[in-house]
Amino acid sequence: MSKRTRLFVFVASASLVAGVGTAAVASYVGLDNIGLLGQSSDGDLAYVPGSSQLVAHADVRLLMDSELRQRLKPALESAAGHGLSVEELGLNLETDIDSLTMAALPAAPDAASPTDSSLVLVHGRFDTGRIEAAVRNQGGVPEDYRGTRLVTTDKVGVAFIETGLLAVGSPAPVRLALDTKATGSTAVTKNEALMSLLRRVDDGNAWVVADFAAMQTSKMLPVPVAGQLPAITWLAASGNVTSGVSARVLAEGRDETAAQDLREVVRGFVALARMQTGTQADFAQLLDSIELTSDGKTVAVKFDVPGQFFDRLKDATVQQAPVSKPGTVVRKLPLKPAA
Amino acid sequence: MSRARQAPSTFLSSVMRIFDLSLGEMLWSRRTVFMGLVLGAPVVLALVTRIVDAYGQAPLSVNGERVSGAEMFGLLFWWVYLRFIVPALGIFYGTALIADEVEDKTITYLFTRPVPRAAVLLGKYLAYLVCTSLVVLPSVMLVFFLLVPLSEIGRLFGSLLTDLGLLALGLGVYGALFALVGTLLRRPVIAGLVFAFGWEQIAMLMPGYVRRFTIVYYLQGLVPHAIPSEGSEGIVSLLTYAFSDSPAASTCLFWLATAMVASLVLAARAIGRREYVLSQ
Repeated sequence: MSKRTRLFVFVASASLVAGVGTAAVASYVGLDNIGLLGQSSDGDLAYVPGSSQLVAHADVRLLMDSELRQRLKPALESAAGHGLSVEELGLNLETDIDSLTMAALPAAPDAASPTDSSLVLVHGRFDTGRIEAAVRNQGGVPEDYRGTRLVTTDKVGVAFIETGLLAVGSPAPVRLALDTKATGSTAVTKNEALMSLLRRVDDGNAWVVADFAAMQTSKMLPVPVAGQLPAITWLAASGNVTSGVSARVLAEGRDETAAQDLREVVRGFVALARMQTGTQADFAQLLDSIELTSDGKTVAVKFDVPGQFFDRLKDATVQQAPVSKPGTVVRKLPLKPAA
Repeated sequence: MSRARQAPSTFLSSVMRIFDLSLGEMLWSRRTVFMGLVLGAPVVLALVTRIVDAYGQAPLSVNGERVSGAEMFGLLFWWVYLRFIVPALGIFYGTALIADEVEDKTITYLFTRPVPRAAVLLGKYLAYLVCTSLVVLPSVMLVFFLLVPLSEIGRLFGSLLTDLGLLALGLGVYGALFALVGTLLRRPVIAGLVFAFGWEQIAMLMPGYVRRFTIVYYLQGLVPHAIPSEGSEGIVSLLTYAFSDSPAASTCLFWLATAMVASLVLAARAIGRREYVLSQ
């Protein structure tokens, strides 16, 4: 074999190995985790405007397939309401949706409610024709916006971004999401404060990061609720749902005093819960799992909710359901037909 | 003298010597220019797609809906690599393994060497496999990284490995089949083109069992990419129809392996028994 043939074989093999190796690392570790791509790696966040006050994500597929969900499925189905809008659109939550990313933007001055400024990015398998028909039946008008098909009514906008990815929300946030993706510079990934918290919680099946101070300012939270909370500036939470739930909540206070106050509030709640639940094993297990730590302005609470805890809640719900009013005569069915 | 007294070369060492000799010849031939042009086209297409995407435009839309990078890679992999490039390389390299030596009247030199005739075929076949694989697989890898968003690379790692294995298998099967054709027929390229781009294309669109007499039917059964759902129009419905009848993976592997081994065995038998009369 000549020298140049050897060189070719070596270079071609090396490039193949490097490519497969990179993909393998991405598969097992994730490119985000090794810091090769930084913030731009998450495709969905590129659509989320930087002005978002709350960003949340749920891996619906993992949640739906989780052991806990399967155990609670009968109870959840009976509790679910009828005529879900997603079903009207031809979507099945069980099978069609893989993940959801939600963002809450500052409400416009003329917005009727905070949900008028929300945006949801949905990954899954969709019958786009049916979804578009459903929106158009409500008076929706299709248009091409930044190269993407967008159907909007006065209240709702649906953008068919790419196969398996929809943006749903009020028309203005959906348009803003497409603008954000097109320009790139105004995405939430450029918001360093939010992204630094996000990186601490995005390892869960579901996570949320909220700019608490901004939400209070824009009155996104009900005034009585906001008034009772310590001076929190940022809140982040993540949960891993398997047979139970492992959750972590991070709260950043305005200053160290606020963080200390918050820590005391949590301690108080835990003590109160211990007094209330007494010797109940499931509650004791939950309370024992609580880890409260603090670092400067940040307070972190970590806890595990065992699967048995949910079973107990389910049983309690079932037992409470057929409560009869005092004095009500319960007619028993005859064991034998009357002669 | 000592070399003459050495033990006669084994079949395997003969194969390796022919492989060593043929690999360089194949790599630095005019065919490599053809292969480079054919494989460069999807890479350029992927690069353009990436650039268009970077400017916020949809590189490909169907009914106003943007086609994702992963789906574009799936379509490119199936229609360009597996349905065109692999059979084309199989034809142009596979048929030439023996036919070129006959045409150049150099086969006599090979057959006068103390190596079994079957080893000549097998060595050349291995050289073809290594030569084409080392060009095709990195090209696919490049297209994959250009088209698939970086956040999805990890999720698609398994299907990427399957794709690479599938290409190597396709090159192996088509190469073996066309090596047999090149050994048996006087105009093997025409026969190969008729089979790959005539018979296989028509048979795949015909209902019933006819498609089972093609190689692409079994390769299709191993393709991991998700195919768009039913109810769509045009190219999507054609794709849906084409993929609607896929055999089990084990069946596909069995028939592909059988086709490859049988073709090689028959080609080796043919080359061993045939008397090549070289016209002056």
